[in-house]
Amino acid sequence: MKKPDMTPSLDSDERVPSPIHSEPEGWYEKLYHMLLSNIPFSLLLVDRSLRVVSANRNFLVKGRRSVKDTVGARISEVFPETIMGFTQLESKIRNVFDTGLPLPGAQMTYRAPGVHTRIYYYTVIPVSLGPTVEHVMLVLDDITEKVQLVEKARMVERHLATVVESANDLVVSTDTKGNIVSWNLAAEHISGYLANEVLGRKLSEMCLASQQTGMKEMIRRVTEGDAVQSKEVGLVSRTGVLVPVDWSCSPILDDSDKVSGVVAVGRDLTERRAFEQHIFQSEKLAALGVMAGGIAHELRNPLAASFSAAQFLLDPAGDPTFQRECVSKIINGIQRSSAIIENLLRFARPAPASDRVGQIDLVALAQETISVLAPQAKLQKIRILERFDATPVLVSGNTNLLQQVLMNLILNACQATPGGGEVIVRVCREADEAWMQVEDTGCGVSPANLGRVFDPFFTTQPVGKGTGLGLSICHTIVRQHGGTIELDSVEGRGSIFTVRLPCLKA
Amino acid sequence: MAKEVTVLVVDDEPEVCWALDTLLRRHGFTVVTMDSGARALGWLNRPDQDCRLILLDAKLGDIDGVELARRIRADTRCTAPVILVSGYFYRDDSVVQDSLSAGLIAAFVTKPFQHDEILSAISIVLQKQKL
Repeated sequence: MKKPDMTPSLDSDERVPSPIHSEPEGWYEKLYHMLLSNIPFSLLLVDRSLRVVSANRNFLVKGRRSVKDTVGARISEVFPETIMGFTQLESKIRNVFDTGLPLPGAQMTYRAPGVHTRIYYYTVIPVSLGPTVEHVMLVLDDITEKVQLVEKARMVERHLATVVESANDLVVSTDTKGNIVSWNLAAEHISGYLANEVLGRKLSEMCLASQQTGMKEMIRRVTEGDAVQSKEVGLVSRTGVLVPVDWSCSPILDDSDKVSGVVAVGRDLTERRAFEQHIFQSEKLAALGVMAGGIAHELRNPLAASFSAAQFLLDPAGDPTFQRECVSKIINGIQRSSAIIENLLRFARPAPASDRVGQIDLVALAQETISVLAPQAKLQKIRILERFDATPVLVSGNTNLLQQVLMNLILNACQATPGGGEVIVRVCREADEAWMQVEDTGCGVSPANLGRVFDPFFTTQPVGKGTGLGLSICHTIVRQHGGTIELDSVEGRGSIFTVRLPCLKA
Repeated sequence: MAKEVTVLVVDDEPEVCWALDTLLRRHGFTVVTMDSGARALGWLNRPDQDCRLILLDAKLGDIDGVELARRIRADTRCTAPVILVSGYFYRDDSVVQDSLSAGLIAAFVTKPFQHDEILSAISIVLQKQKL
């Protein structure tokens, strides 16, 4: 022994008197065997010549060995060569004999013939009776299941994290009060806020001020046990940009099925909105094309009157009363033409971003829309009848888009009434809803087509006469405004389109 | 110019009726204005009318001008020539060309119109009638 024994052996003679001499013969041996056979570890007692002195039952069973070929065998004969080489077990054991210090725990993988690979946590403990270590105990704890479990848990965790982090959608979780608990990469990317900046904040506070109630409500309902909730609620980014997001909230349940939080998955609708904006605009221009004939005709009447009046004024002999009449006809004609052009421009102008939302009076909106469409309707021998509430019908929305809805519905009604007739436009308040109704006495929709009228590109018009987008755009816009659109139709009798929007208090 | 000639002006736009009425009266015509196809047909069916020329708007509230011209030929005994005065069609529109070549209309004038243009169209049409 080269190194001096620095640490006194734990069971030094002074503190724990050796019990062997004070108990009846054989008692300890029995106890020792009993303990060893029942302990759930594999134990080997090894002497200084590195031979196995004793092996417990657990070791023999796990290693598929017998007492005969184990006890008395060298440790290198008990463990396969590869393990001996890999773990350097012999030198480690020698080291314990030399230092008298236990070996810090390490892991080994051991595959006994005919059994699956097991993973052991092992340690070598010096067993000394006197100042020198005569035996060491090799303790092997089978941790295969634990390791596998941890490994599995880690894998699932990693997998879930990858799923959440690599999602293109915002994946946000909150506690039951709506405070943000997790915030994935997409959420960071889309909002411009890093996770550590938003954790603990209310998710609703990250939303557009006027829509925060919507988010709160959605989270509240989920925590109260309602099924999955979905709603469009705008998120305000770090730079102040409003990002339209389609949220879907679902509950996070704990082991006792109690709601412990909410997971909100949000889809960024920015690109879709931009695309829709394009479609809306081109469809509107297509509709304007249809209306151009009517507008040209409408313009030429006041122009014709003014032109004639001006020509009468060229006659120097005219009487002053008649000349004044001519001047007033000219002024009147110019004002009328100018009003027609103004209406037209208001329509042709690209819609401001669809997120520009304000308070709108549907009655005023309908009057303006009808003034633009009436000339075209008149050309088709169609009278547009206005049935409006006497008081303003207020909704929150985008004027341009809602005007487009009504325009498309009226144009659709006109197309459905080729022989001329009446189209009734109603704007009214029904309980807490605002209604816009367009009724025609035209050809109606066949039962087979009823389910398809709001489909994009569905049209019964000949090629070149309709894009088939008008009603589908109405549907999209109305849905964006949190409303619904419905069709009641009897083939051959006519149709009623009803748009319902949430009403603002007057 | 032709005294005592009665002209029927059919247009649903009062200001246009005013312009044509004023112009034609100044040139010695007797003018009757009607604002719809139905009224025009009704008046033309009166036995006491002596209509020699009809100016029709192309788009009336109840009927198209060309269709009204057809109804006048079919449903009345009036043989007066028809001049289509329109802000809707162009001269080279097929509807206008077809109606001209079929003799359904005798002339076409666009709105807004030069007074000289409409007067000369009227005089040519009436001249042809006399021959």
